[in-house]
Amino acid sequence: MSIDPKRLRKAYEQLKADAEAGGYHLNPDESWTLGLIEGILTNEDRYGYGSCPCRLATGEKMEDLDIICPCDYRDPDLNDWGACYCALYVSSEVLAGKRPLQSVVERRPTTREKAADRPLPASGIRLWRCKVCGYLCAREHAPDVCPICKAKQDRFEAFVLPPDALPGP
Amino acid sequence: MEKATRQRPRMYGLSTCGWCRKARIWLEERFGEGGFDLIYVDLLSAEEKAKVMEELRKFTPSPAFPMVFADDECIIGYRDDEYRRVFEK
Repeated sequence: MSIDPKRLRKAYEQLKADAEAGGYHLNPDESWTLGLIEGILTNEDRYGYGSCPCRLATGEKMEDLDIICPCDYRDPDLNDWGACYCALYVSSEVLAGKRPLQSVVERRPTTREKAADRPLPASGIRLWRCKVCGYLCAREHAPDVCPICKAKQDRFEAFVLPPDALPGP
Repeated sequence: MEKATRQRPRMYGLSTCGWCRKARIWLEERFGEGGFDLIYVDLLSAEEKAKVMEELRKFTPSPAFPMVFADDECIIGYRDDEYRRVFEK
């Protein structure tokens, strides 16, 4: 595993800026964080997508969408454990030293339900949900990039709100 | 220190993973480089990977890394307390 140090540094600065802008925090242990980002870049080169460095990727992007960093499990892990699975992201409490860093028990399900297997109701209000950070928007298509966490369009799931779910005029 | 296990310790890990790096360093400090078997599952061929994963699923339905084997025991995830328990008795 060898990533050009300039590329690594650039990726680190970008990720850190994006994290802070979205209210997230990278692990302040820089050598730890750089090591993980090096892993993500290695996976990007190896598989064509920046899969989680601490989980085994299949090499099939559609199979691994949920573990492209930041993974679908980061936010619940930050809430429950104060860190994501890799400890690349940490909570404010961990950052402030008010909570110790602990290892995270894997919550990724062994078998995953595919969004395509779930039919959407024909009528109602179509919403898009970012599976990474939970951002919601009501529009025809999912945004190219999540305005909150910068996850790409393929991380959005559609769901339909029944017409009577919202209070009438 | 007495030899704590009958068999050579063995670790399955991912070459990109921070916790696996920590586990490798722990084992290197205890047994020396080359003093244990180290298998980076992500670097195996598809065929070998499938075989290894099948093997690991005998110990847990959803293998996670690092997986460290000390004789019949398997320690999943980086657990230095557990490493001390099995390797420093």
